[in-house]
Amino acid sequence: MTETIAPHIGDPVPRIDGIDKARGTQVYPSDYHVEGMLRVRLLRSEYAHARIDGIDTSAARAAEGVAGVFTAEDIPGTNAVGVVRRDGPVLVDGLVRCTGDVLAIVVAESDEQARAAYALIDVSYEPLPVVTDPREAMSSGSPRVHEGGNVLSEIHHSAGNVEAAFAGAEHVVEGEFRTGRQEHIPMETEAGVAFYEDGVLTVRHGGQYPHRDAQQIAAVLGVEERQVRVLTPMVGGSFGGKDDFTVQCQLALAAHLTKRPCFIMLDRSESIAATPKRHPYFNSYRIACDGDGRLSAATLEMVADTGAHASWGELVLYVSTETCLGPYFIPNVQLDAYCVYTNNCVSGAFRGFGGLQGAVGIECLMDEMALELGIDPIRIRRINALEPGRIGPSGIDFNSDESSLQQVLTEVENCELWRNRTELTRLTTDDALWKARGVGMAAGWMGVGYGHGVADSSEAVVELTDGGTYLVRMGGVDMGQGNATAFAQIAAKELNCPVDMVDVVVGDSAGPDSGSCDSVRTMYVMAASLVKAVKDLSGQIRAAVAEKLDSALEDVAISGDAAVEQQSGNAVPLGALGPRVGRGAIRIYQEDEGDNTDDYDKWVFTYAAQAVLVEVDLLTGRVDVLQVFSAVDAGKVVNLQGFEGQSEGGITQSIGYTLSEDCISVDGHILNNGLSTYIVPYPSDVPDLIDTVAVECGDPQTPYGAKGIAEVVMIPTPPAILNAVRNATGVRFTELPLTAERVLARLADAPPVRGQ
Amino acid sequence: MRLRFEVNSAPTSVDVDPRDTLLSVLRDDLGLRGTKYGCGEGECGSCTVLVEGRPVTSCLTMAGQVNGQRVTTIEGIESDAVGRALVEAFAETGAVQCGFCTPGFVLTARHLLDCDPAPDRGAARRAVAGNLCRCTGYTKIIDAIVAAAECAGAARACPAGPTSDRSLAGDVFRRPTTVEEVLSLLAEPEASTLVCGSTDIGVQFEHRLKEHRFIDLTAVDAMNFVREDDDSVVIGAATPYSDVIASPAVNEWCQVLVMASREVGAEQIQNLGTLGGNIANASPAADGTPALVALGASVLIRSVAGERVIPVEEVATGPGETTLAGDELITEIVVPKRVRSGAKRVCFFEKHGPRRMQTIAVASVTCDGWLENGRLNDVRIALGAVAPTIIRAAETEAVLTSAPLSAELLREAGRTVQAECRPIDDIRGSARFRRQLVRGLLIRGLLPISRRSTR
Repeated sequence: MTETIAPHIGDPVPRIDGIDKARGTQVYPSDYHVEGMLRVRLLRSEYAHARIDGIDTSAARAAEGVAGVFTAEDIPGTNAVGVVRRDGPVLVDGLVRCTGDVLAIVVAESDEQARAAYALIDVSYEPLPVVTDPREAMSSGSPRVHEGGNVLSEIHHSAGNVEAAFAGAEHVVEGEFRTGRQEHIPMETEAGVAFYEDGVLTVRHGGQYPHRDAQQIAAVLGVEERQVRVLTPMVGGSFGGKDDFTVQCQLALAAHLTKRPCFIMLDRSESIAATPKRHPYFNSYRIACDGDGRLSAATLEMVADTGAHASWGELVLYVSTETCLGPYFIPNVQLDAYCVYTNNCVSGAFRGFGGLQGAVGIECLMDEMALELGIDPIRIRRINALEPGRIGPSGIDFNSDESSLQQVLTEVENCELWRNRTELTRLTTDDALWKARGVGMAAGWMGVGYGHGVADSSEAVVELTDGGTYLVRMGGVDMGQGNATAFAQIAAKELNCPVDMVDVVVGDSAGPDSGSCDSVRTMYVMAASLVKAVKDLSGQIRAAVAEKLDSALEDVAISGDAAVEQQSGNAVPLGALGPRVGRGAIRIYQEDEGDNTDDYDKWVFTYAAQAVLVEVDLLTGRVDVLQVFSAVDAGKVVNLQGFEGQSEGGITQSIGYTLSEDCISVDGHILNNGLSTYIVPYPSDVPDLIDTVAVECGDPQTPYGAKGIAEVVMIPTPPAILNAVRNATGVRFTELPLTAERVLARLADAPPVRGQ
Repeated sequence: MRLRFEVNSAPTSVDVDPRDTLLSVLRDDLGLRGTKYGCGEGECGSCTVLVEGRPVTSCLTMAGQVNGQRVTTIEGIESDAVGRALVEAFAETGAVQCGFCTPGFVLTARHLLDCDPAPDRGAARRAVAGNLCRCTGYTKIIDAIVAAAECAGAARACPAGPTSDRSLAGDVFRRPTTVEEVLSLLAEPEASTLVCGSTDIGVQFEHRLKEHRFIDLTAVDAMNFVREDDDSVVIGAATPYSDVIASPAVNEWCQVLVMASREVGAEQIQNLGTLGGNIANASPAADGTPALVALGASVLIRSVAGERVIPVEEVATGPGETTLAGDELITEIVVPKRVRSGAKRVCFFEKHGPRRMQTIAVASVTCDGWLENGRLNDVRIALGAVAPTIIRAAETEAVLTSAPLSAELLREAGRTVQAECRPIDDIRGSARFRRQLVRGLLIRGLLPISRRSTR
């Protein structure tokens, strides 16, 4: 047998890009330097809703160092872009719908000159009434954000007889839950360069889907798609925020219209104020159960604020409705969900993609119901757990024959944090005067991939180079998740070679189209196309060597840098075979082929459950998370280090979402647009103990059984924290973020200097 | 203007505006793009570089402020075994995801290993409190720092040594080296802005630095000292917080100032920020100033015309407004040695900000006094971020010294302090919240003292 050289699937393989990043040599979009490049600044609106009567750019154009000032009328092609529907202008043409809308592009020799010129642009605004509450925006008297009405999309589902079920229920609990407007805060703000090279406009920027960018940039410029190449190499963080049209079209326009290389990087304040956010939700839940705790009915009205443009709004709402009633069986349901335009900052994609907003309410009410019944919170989830094969509570037949919910609950039930919760929440007499501790838990679930019935496909290419090494070409951008490493690891495994024999190039619109890098579809769809490509290449190599050695194909195996004939031990170095290319493609849920294709016939879901220990400072209202235990169904862990990193990072973002992160928005203006006022967790705000356990409930369809976990890890955290705070203080909080101010406002009614 | 400084041990000369940020000079003029822009306001630590071996935020530092000094960037980190061990540990342990914050973390950790060659996890976490990572959740970053310490050598990031001429004389940015020079520059008719750590100036004037003329104080050695006199501890107004924290005299006599200084930003900001700047900047949310008020400190203010000494609390008249004349300079802070025989000194600095560290106060309560037979005596309380300036809480002090400590006294003090403050609503918190906070912070600080007194 040939010796196994590649690391095993599941090993903690260090990132292939780790060393360059640690020594500062990795070139990010904001680091790419082209000689003579101009600096680009964007003029955004002073009003959230206004008619533009005119933009006078003459003074700005005449200013020192200015190479151009461009407005809507300078756009050669179509002035509309968007990830789902093209409803957002690249440059405002007549009507401003939010303060993030761009009115003009200023291009100058230096950044200072661009900033100076920008102040000279004279815009005539005619302010219009603003609507910022999506519930008000649904009413007939509301200002219209878009011609067709303010409701972007709505989803309704009815099952059984809700009224009768509530009338006959033993217990009913209800609550109104609100969630905040979370900003991604990628460490690198939106940035890039654009320049002409051999007649092709190259745009290198921080994005998540180079092919989509190239297509729409070409339409904006009015050129052929082949005249635009988009590169999205290593990106300095994104989390969904750059899975949209942020700066790439304006940057491309600047380079196209000036015919000079151009550079843009948003200030942090602009990045916070103007780029897409996580949708704020207003959810009203009511659930009922029988005397044993079996859920009998639920009603839910859900309103999501999508801001001024559609972005991903309708899909975010759709994903919310998949999971918003929890992974539980509920026979009688009325669900009414709306995604609504307002004059607020655009809401778009954010890791968790609608899953977080829906989970908060149901998971809090499951705890309330358990309290009312006097039963254990894990028990109530167990008895209501959706069994494989049943229709989901919001009516989705996800055709899954696996559920790992019981397994992740078992992990939580057995973890030390949960078992020792009485001891862990006990405080000394002195501390109990002003502190309270609580342990809480929650479960969560999330679809893997775009979702039910959404066409998905991916292409991959693997080359054997002249030098006898491998090169993987994929669309899947690496924004930090470790895609490139996972791709190298998969190729190494299938080609039985060390990981460092594989180079990876990701994010090139001239390369294979692997689809957008989101929806935790990397290990689900992209990896599947890669496995096919690698098998193709491996077959080609073995066939060539078999022919060379006059042996049977099955007797030839690849081992490191050579292919070996098993019996004789004769080896042919890969470098002697000449360049070869392996290709792979995968297609699922293609519209023309119906719901299922040969590639996947099941819809993949994954589950997580968490327990947290919190401490509440009763004197200041501060909530600290002291410990987290997280059980996640990863299907099969491909890279242990990557798995833990995704889990710890996701939970940390979710702690921020729960306790502090929210854009304070007044009349469509975000006021806290700096890192001293928009509060993300720093090292001292995060527990040292985030213990993550992988449940490996492998999916038979995906490569190695792997499932994407980056999103589901975030979902149980907010309700687990709210449940822990409930257990610590006796107060049910229903609004995120749970800031100290909000906690103290409720606790102040009972002065906390106790027991003295 | 031509600046000369050492970058990664190489003598470097560059012709730039000295008011350009060090970050932009490193990236755009010297092509050292491992130093990253993350926020432009000293909050995220992505732009961290070492100046004379100490981490600072290069987005707040003006290039002229490092003239004649030694700068280490990520590109120079692997010049010794400690730096190499850190880079390797970050790459191996999974401390790197998108990696954009990583150079800043590595440089901050490099300094930690100079100060503490074997940090535990808590020390490592505190050291990087001013660095933001949005990907990892920090666990693996802490793992990496601890692992690097185990295999690192003993080399220092920047061995102590004489620096070259730091002074700069120009029109828009002057870097004098003596107090007398500063005073004569201040006496010029054209207005200049005094700058030292630039931790406030850099934020307030972001992108507008070139609209101002500066007199930089960072090379005035006569303002950078801690001296112990018979009846006072004297601190140079341009002494960075980290040196205040490290001073034995300050630790012995002004413990509450050490507590407060540790809560000013994090490592990078403590290496830049100064007490003189904190007082003159007149922010009601200052951390250093309330400690000085509680300690009864005074400032020595000089100008070419003469000098005067006034209590610290008399400098500020409102947010950003002071009694300082345009030609005046705070040169030193005099903290009287407070003594009271037979009594135990008690003090606390309680602050609430939205984060544990690297945070701006929404409210703070500082207290310094004595505990004697279960009773507080000679207690001084200063309140931060609940009035237009830092204020003394005289009525609360009176309540607290009126009777032995008890639960009832604490409650009464809580009510009094709420009535005594004058907070406003802003995006950091409502007036109502701030009132609740001063009460909570006062009680939180007093509880352990009260407990001690009743045992």
